[in-house]
Parts: sequence; structure tokens; C-alpha cells
Amino acid sequence: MAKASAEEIAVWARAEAAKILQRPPERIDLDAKLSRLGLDSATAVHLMVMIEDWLGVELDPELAFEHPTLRRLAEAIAERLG
Amino acid sequence: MTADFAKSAQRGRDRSILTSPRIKRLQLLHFLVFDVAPIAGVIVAVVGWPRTEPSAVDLALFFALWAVTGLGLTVGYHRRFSHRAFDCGPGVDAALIVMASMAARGPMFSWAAMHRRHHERSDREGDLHSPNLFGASRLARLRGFAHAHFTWMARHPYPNAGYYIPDLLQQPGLLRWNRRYYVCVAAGLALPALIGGLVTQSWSGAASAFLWGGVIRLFVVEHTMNAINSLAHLIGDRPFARGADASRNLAWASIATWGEAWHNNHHAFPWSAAFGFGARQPDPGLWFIRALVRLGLAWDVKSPDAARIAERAEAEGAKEA
Repeated sequence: MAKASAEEIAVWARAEAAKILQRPPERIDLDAKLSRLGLDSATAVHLMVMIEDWLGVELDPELAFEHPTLRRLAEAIAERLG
Repeated sequence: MTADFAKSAQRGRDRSILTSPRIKRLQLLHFLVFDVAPIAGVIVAVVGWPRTEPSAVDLALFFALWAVTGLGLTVGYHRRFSHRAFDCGPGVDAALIVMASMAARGPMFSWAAMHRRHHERSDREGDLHSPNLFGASRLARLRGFAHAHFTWMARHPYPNAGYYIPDLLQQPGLLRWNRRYYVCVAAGLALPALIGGLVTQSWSGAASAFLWGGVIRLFVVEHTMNAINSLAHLIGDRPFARGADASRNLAWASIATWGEAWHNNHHAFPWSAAFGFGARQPDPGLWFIRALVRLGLAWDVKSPDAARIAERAEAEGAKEA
């Protein structure tokens, strides 16, 4: 599962964020800041670890801070997957 | 997949904790504002004495907010969320998070994750605030004390919430209040200023109430509670000897810490809502939980019976001997 497009990653990450936030995925804006969505350090790190497990790769948790929206985060991860 | 990723996935890093420069910067900022800055408040009070002497209103606010935040920490963050030692409804959960957040000891999720790690590693490698991992010399023990009591908070590895608190992350009500942490901290500082100002009808009354009910109260709550990480792992009785786990009971600190100081008891029975065992070990946190039960606001309060406590003390005493 290591190959995924930015789009796929964004959709999957949104579904996970929806589970954490207990909100329907369609109500989660891919371009909103993670902190705006209601994710703090603990839950943002949790989301990163969920994405790592799904993709079967190790990611730097800093990514969630350097690319603080779901869309930009997904793009950054897809770029690293190559 | 690149070769690097393949290798790291196989290597399987420790999933329980991670280090992030960005989170460390947040920790440092939080440390400077809520752990270092309150010291300035104490200095102001001392240097300005007797002009800074607290009025009756200041003292009332100081003790009331000490009780609110201290009970929030021990009953909410600690016994309820970290250890599930009793059950209650969402309203009480929310109230406990708000009360504890006003102590500025970090958001509940982070606190509970670090605390569960503390029990997993107690005084072994990976315990984020053990005073006993620096060596045996006097200087090493002093360094250990400073670390466990204060400086560990300035920057430290961050526990993976998905690993330590999956049960808490699944409850939307908790997330809703957890994310309002900074609003609660600000309210804990604004409230005494507001009340002090209104009661005395003066700006100086507001400032004085802010100093005593806000800043100095933060300082006192912090250092009484930090003594559990530092002193209660260095000096005191160990009715339950627990090997490397150096937790101890500090009877003299039990009231000021709302029962937290029965720390060796707590490490022996972490699932127990009672930290003090029996009438001779005062435990205000337990009294508060019992009051909630009487009001019908809490239930399923877990604690070991006397026989079980005696049996464990004997078994662990024998192990040590």
C-alpha cells in the first residue's frame, strides 16, 4: 500500500480525521488548518501514525506541522512516496 | 516505495513515543509562560510586601481556585481519565476537564498519555519524569530532582496518543473540551481578576486578586503537584515495595496534594479511585468522588478491600526482603 496518490491520501486522511472528530467526512474541509478542524498536538500526531500504519511507511510527524492542511499534508506525503 | 521507507518499516520503530522539534518548541513556550513566569508573580509578592499582602477576597479566591484546579487534576485528569477509576456522565467529564485545564498543566489528552507512560515505565528508561535515572551520587540525585520536579517539561519526547489513550480519543465529548484548553487557562486567570475587581470596585483589587487567585495559585498548584513526580519518587514510605518503581507515600503532603501524595499506594493499585487507604490516610480527592456518588453524579468507584491491600503489602514486602 506504499503507492498512493495525493488525492487518495487526502480522502483517506479525511475519513480518519472524521473518525477522530466524530463528524461526517464531507463536513471536513481539506483546506482548513488542522488546528481549525479541532486537531491539537495529540490528535494530529495520532492521525500521522494512522496514516503511517495504513501506508506501511515511516513518516516524520513534523509533516503535520509543516503542511498543516489535509490537502497539503497529503501532497507532501505523496511526494515522499515518490 | 523507496528503499529508505522499506528499511524503516521493517526495522519497526518504537510506536509509543516520538520526537518532534515543532512540539518541543510548543513545550518550551508553554514552560516559559506557565511554569517560569509564575515565579515572577511570587517575586513580585515578596518584593512588594506588605503592599501585596492578600485581602480576604484574594485569599478566598486563592483557596477556591486551588481546590477547583487541584481536584480537577487529581479526580479528573488522573483518576477518571488516566485510570478509569470511576464512572460518571458527560457533564461531569466536561466539568473535570475545565477545572483541571485552569491549572495550566497541559491539555487532558497529552497529560493522560504521558501519565499512562509513567506507569508503564515507572523509574525505568522512558519514564518522562523520573528523578532516579541520573546516577547515585549526590549531584546526580539533585539533577534528578530538578528534572522530575521542573525542567523535564521544557522539552521532552511526545507520547503517541493513538498508542496510550485510544479509549479517550473515541469519545467526542472529551475532544470537544480537550481542545478548549487555552480558553480554560485564560478563564482561570481572568476569573479571579474579574471577581476581585467587582467585589472591591477597584483596579487595584482586580490586580491583587489576579496575582493571588491567578498567578500565585498557578505556582502553588504546580509545585505541590510536581512534588509527586520528584519527592514522592525519592523520599517517604514504601508499604508496597515495587522493585525499580521508586514511588513513595508522603503522608505530610497528602492534604496539600488532594490525596496524590499516597503515591506508593497509587502505583500498587493504579486502577483504584482511593489513593489513601483507610481513615488514617486522608484523601480529599476520594472525598470529592464520594460526594459526587452521593449526588448521583458518579458511580462504579473502584478500590481494593482491606484484605487485598494487606495481602499485596505482604507479598511485595517478601519480594523485597
